Amino acid sequence: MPEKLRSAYEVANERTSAPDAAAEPAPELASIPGPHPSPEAPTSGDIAPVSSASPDSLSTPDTEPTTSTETLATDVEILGKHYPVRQMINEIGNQRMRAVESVTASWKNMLDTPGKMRLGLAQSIAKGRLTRQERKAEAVSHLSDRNWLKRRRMRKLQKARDRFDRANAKYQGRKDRMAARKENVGKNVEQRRADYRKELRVRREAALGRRALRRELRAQDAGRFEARAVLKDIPKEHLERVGKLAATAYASERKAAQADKQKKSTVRNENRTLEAIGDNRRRMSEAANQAKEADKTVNEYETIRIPKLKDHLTELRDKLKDRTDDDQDRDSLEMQIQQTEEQIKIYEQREVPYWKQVALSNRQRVITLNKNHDALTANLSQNTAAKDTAVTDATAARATADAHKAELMKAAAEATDSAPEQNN
Amino acid sequence: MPLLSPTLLENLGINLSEEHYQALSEHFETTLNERVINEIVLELSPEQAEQLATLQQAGDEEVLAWLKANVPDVAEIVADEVDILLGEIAENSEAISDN
Repeated sequence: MPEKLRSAYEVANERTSAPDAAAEPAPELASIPGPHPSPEAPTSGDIAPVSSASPDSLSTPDTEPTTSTETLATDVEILGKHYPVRQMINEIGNQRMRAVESVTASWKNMLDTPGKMRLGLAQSIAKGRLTRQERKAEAVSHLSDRNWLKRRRMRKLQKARDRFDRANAKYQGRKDRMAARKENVGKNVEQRRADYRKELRVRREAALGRRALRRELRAQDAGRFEARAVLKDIPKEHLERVGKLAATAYASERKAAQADKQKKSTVRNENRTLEAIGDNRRRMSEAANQAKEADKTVNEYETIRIPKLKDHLTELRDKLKDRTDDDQDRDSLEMQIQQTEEQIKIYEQREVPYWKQVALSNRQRVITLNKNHDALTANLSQNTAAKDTAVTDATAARATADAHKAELMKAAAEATDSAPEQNN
Repeated sequence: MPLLSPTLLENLGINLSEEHYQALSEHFETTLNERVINEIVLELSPEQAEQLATLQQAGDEEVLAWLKANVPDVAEIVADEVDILLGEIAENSEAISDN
């Protein structure tokens, strides 16, 4: 069923947008005033700001009472083209505005360029004159103020200064105006962007408000047509309030969900650290046992096996001394002595050092694991602190979200309650 | 025409690579459809839901006509859900942008 619905929705968009193109001017053209402007098209012409294409005045089923026939017609518009066209106008408005403003600014700057050059020349001449007069005035600065020549030069200097100030002001003014035109193109783009974001946020709040009210009405078991009528009669302030509350509730819910996620994550971390500590402890115990076993083996070699072999070797050597050179057992005894000596050598030079090494490496492992244990314990206390904070945050966020939700439900109920009164 | 076009995103100050734009656009459409369907289904009575279920084999036009007849608020639902979703994008535009 969802698949079917989805395809129906998509088809609705596709199908109804095609005839629109034929029946109405293309969106690019829609913004140009014509004899039969599209209902969605802004009628203020190309240079209408993006916000002027605001759909607030277009999708106002909740502010304007409509008959069911009218509603269906509006629905067809909305389902098929109303919204996409509205969006496209916004996009094109912003894009075109940037282009139009940029071209306009360039054109005006181009027209202003000769004037700017003229003013620049005038400013440059005035500057030269001022420099000259300053030099001349400097030359007579040592004379008395009542001296005719000095007074004349000072007057001329003042005139040159005034002239330069005027020329400079005109030149700078022109330059600033031209620069501002270019800057304003960028600023206006940013402004429109900010306005557009704001507009989308406001529309979202309103939509959340309407959705919350729809749900509330459903919860009150109102009939759909009744619900629709009630929705339309709800005062705008209430709708706005509900919208804001819905947005706040939505944000709180998201925050609560995030806090809950954070809490779960910290709990997971704590559990993981606890598991790591347990695992570390187990490995430490194993290493300690292995070290102990190795020590025991070394001890066994050193105190039992090797001394026993040495005793046996002494016995064999004593026996060999007692034998004559032609005794038939002599070779066998010599062989046994050699084997015993080799066995002692193996024990002393291979087995004992090996087991000593095993014991040593396991002891070192215990030391390392012990250090690990300290680090993991420190981690655990950090994780536990983080978990405690996250649990507190999550509880607080959940409480806030629940409070906002309750507030929203209350406002929605008030709004629906107040609608018939307003209507009456 | 997709609701979420690169131009619309650019108007919001969101600059995305083609790949990221496609992913976001797809996610947008999927989320929108899910939300719209969710809201529509909530509007239906059990009998209507059953009726709709029987329309599984019906053509798109028939399903659409049924929707218009049985869910008069469908257009508002769609428009509201689009507004909500676009508002969410506007709200998070800084986080969404590639740069």
